[in-house]
Amino acid sequence: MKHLFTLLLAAFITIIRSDPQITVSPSLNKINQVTTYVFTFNIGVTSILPGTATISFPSPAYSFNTSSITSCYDSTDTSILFGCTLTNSSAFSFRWTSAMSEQIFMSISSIKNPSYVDNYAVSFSFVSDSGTPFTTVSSSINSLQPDELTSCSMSFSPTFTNTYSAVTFSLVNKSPIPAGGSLQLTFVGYTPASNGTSLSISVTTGASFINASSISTLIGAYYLLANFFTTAVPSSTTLVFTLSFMLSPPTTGSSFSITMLTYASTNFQYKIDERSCSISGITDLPTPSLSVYTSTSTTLRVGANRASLSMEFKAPSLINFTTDIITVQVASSSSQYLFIFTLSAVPLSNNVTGSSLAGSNTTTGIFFPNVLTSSTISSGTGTRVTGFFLNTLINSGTKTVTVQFSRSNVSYSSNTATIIVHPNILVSASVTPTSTLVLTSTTYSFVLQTANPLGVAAAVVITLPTNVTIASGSCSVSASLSATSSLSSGIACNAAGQVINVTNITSTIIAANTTITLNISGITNPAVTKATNTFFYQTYYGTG
Amino acid sequence: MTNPVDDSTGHNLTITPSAITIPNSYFTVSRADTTNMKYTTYTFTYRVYTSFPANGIMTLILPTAMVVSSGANATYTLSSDATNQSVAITNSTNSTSNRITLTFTTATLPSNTVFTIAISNILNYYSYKPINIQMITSSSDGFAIEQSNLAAFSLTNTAPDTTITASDSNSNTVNGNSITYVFAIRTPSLLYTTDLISI
Repeated sequence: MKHLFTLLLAAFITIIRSDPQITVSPSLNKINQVTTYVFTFNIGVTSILPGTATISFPSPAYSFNTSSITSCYDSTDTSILFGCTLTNSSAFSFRWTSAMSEQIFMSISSIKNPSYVDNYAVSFSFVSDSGTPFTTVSSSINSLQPDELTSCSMSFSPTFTNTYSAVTFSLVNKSPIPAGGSLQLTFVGYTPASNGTSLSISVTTGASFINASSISTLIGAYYLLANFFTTAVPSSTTLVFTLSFMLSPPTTGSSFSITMLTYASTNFQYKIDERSCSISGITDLPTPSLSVYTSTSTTLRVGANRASLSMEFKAPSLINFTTDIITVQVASSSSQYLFIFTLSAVPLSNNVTGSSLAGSNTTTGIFFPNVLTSSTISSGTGTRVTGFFLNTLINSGTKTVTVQFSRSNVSYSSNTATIIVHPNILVSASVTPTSTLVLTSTTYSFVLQTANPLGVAAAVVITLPTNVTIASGSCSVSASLSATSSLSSGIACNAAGQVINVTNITSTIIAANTTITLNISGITNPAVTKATNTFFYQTYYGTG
Repeated sequence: MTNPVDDSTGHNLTITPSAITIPNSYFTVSRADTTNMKYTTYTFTYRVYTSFPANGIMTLILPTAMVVSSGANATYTLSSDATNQSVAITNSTNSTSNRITLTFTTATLPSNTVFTIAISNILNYYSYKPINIQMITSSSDGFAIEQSNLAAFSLTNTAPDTTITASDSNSNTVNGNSITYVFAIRTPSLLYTTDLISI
């Protein structure tokens, strides 16, 4: 009978009681945040036995004092209060009365989240007033997230793309970091391959906190610096340190960043603060050994029509023409006079895989390939590109050619080269003074026949030999052109030392082979009958 | 201006000035003795027309026969400096002229500076024929500057430089009779087949 009664009682209990249940989640998930925790408790019986429920948090991650639990109320009806009391520094309890439901929703404020990310188990235990303990159950808080560093920045030195650089990091932590904490640097947008040398650490600010002997490990895109923080770092501490030989981004684009993450442990568990820091200030890697030149047997002169050019360089990195293009252009100041264009094919040197590449013109130069291909050039490969041509040049000087390498329209290497265009040689030239007597002031007739066209307001500069002199300042000139209709009415003459500038000679463009005659008075012959050095003439294009 | 189009590279664009001829009055010559074939001191007066270069050279062109004794010396004064100074003198002779070269050590001298130059032991010409003397100034490296007009100045000797004796070698000295005179002449210099003796 007794045995039967026990069985009936057990069955009764089995039928009407299951294990309690608990769910718990903080309203705000960042570490160290003071927030409201929301619980769901299910006592597991429909017929409530009054008793005391105890909620226990892991210590020392959670630490309460009398002011921690400021409010304990029904989540569905904030007017219903539960009398929560601290039982110790990491637990509180409340009365589960028979008037309460089997399941209650409780919000408790204000609880401070732990100081680092982990899975934290919160247990729920119940003992009825009659002393019957219910099964203790727990639920994990696994939604915590790291907080954000107050600030972070970095700079590369040198700033060139694809270069092993010293990177100076500056960060201000928001949350304290315990002694033995670690640092993780996650590269976003590219993988910083190692050059085989371990990172060296030098500290500018915060030397007492940073372990300059921390061993770095590179795994894919992650640099891991274990035990980086040798002593506890208070919140809002500025730390500046430099890590050497980190590979800079492959292009100058703005899509690259490094995420800095502090950990509370040596073994990279327990995240604390995290922040993404953009990489900026990256500049083109100077293209090595760049040169642009004409044939060695050719002196490039004004008027040269379609002079052939060649370009040489060492590939600054692997060049893959599935994504990369090379642009060749002239500085804007001379683009009016120099224009590079290619034929339909640009053959490369034999050490390049793939076939010749076609190019296209721009207003200041060319780019190739104009259709992406699978051709490649290995990093460091000396490369010659031919098939460039110059348009007819209208004046001389040093022309700056800029070559730029881009990947997916973002540059990564560039450099400049120069080509020198020499003046052409006048078809004919003569000088005749009216009187040859020594020390006589007389009129000189300077006659020159142009080799190239000249524009509007063209000029001629005459350099007198030593001992042939003219007074500095305005000089008197009478001019004529074989193209008579192009003679300007506003010709000016000015002398300074041995140089005579005759300007604004033409009113329209004049063709090559035009004869210009300039009669200039007031020039004094030398004092002796020795033949002079040569007079020197130069023509200048003007405008148009 | 920058970036010329064409230039005159390779074109030989030079001029060679020519010496200026000074006015006749800017160069005069006088001598102490006008006797044929006599060594005497000549005085040359030259007024600078344009300029006289530093360490300039003066060349005097005389007839070949007007030789300069090896003992000749030259001195000069300037209108700007009355100090009588020596000047280096050399001469060279060819079939057409005798050139006396004076090398000065002056600074550059402006126009209208007057040189008064005395050269001793120059041999007068051997006849009364008018002779011309020309002066050329040059730079220290030998390039002419100004010159006198060759025809501007001439000298003529006035005194005989020889003797003649006449003797009657006949016994009959009656007036009106044709007799033979013997003339003994001391020749002043080498006689050329083209020379004439007039009595």
